[in-house]
Amino acid sequence: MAKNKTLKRIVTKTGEVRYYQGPKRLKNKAGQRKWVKANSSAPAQTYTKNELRSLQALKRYNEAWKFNGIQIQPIYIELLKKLAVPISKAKNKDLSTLVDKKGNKIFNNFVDVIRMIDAKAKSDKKFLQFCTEVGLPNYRKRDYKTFKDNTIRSIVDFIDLLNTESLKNYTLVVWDPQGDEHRGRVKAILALRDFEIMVGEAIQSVAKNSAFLRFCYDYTLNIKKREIMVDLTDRKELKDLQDYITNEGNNKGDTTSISDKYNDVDIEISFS
Amino acid sequence: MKILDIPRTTDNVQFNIDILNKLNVDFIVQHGTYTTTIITEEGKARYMMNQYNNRVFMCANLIKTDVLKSENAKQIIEAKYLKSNFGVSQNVNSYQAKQVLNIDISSAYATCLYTNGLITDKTYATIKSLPKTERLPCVGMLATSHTKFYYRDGECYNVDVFRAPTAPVFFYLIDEINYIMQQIQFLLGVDFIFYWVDGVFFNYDTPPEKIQMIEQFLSDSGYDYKYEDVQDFKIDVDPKKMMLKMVKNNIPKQYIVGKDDVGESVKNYLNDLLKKQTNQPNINTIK
Repeated sequence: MAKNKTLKRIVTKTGEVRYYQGPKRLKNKAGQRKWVKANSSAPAQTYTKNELRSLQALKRYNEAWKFNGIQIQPIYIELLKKLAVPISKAKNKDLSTLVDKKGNKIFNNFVDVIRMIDAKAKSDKKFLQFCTEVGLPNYRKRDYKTFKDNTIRSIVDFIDLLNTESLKNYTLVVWDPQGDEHRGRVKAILALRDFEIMVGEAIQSVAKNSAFLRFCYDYTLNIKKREIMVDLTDRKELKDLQDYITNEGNNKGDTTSISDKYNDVDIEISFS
Repeated sequence: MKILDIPRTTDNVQFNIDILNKLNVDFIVQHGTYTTTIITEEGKARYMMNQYNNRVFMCANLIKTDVLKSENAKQIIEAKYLKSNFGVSQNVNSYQAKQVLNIDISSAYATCLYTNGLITDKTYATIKSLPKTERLPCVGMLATSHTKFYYRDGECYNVDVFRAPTAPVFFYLIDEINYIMQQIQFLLGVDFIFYWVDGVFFNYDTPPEKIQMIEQFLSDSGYDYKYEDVQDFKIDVDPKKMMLKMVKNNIPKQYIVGKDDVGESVKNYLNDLLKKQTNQPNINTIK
């Protein structure tokens, strides 16, 4: 005879809540989870504190993106959007349900999502790149026609990137040109600011007509550790920033790019 | 020419370079992954990490020959990869358990070479016939690299950097095995503990349905696997190193990752010497 597997919730005289699946008592965590799942529309006051926590976790799970029912981090969705994957066509927010025009699955395993993102990151430098723009003192006296727009952005914009839904729980880590690590948003942002000031001053010291700097940071994402990393270690300690200006020239309207000096940043200097 | 084989330690190599510089003797330092060789007119002093049997070098040559003939390898080698900016390293925490489960992929790199059409049946069989300790170095030789520092009158005047053209294939293999491990990690979820190269450790109480999914995934991907008996498992992680202790198949094992790297230390020493020079050498890259 088949055993009765009905889920039961019993409150003892001492107020303890116990869960049973048929005759077998379940561990509290598993019982709470199963009970809440089966009774998710019950009034809130009928739940215990722990059941409420399970209910919140269930809601978060239902709202989250998944792969074959396993919850995934929102950053993957952001990156897939950049790759123009039609994620809105996924059933129940599950990426494993996505199919191409021929009806074949786009992703057979979750690692196919990682492969796709990884391949793009390896082949397209701009895929994970964030640019900031800084006007040097001379910028105010610039010839407007030299520049495409009048808006100067700054390092503060990096904070907007960090505040996006998918990156809000990430730690920013910056290695400065000397290779010292700056971990945490405030310290790392300050390190980026100091770096931009240092570059600006070095450029100004040899080219008074330098007016505009653009820093394009190729950040690295470590999704498992929830870290966003920028390595500014000096790759050419024997070559000064000033040498690039001397070699490339700094006439009005010229633009000089420095892409091999520091690990994760390309610097563009415009002259007026 | 006389060849002297010496264990590679940073102190040994530094001592030899400093002496030759003081004597103003012309010499070349050839620095690779496993060996640093100092070449003078009189002979060679070879500082070695390990000594391998000749069959390792023979097998490495078989692999290289097959890879260079393979169309798939040509595509891998020709693909112009920028540096990866999508990190995948693990977040390993300290952990301890009386018993854990461990799945090891059998001959992971050899199988990866084979399933991707990069080597022939014969070469695959040859690699599989080698003991485990020899399989990785013979595949790793796809990525052979060394730097030659030329010295004259106590100063380095030229640097040649050599990297084998098959190196991208080795990095491709590492990526592929890493992807396999990442998929297993994803399937295990909270039951995952840690993976290392081609073996994954996970909770002893992992639900059987999760384990079935992993086995199915490995079989579908063409990899053989085996379970190992692992007891008294312990991972200690601190900022400088990770220590792994376990009793695997009744044999106590201990590994320390990230504590010391003699090769890197010697390279840093050579680069520091360059920085101190007033005249900078020419640097040529040979591929």
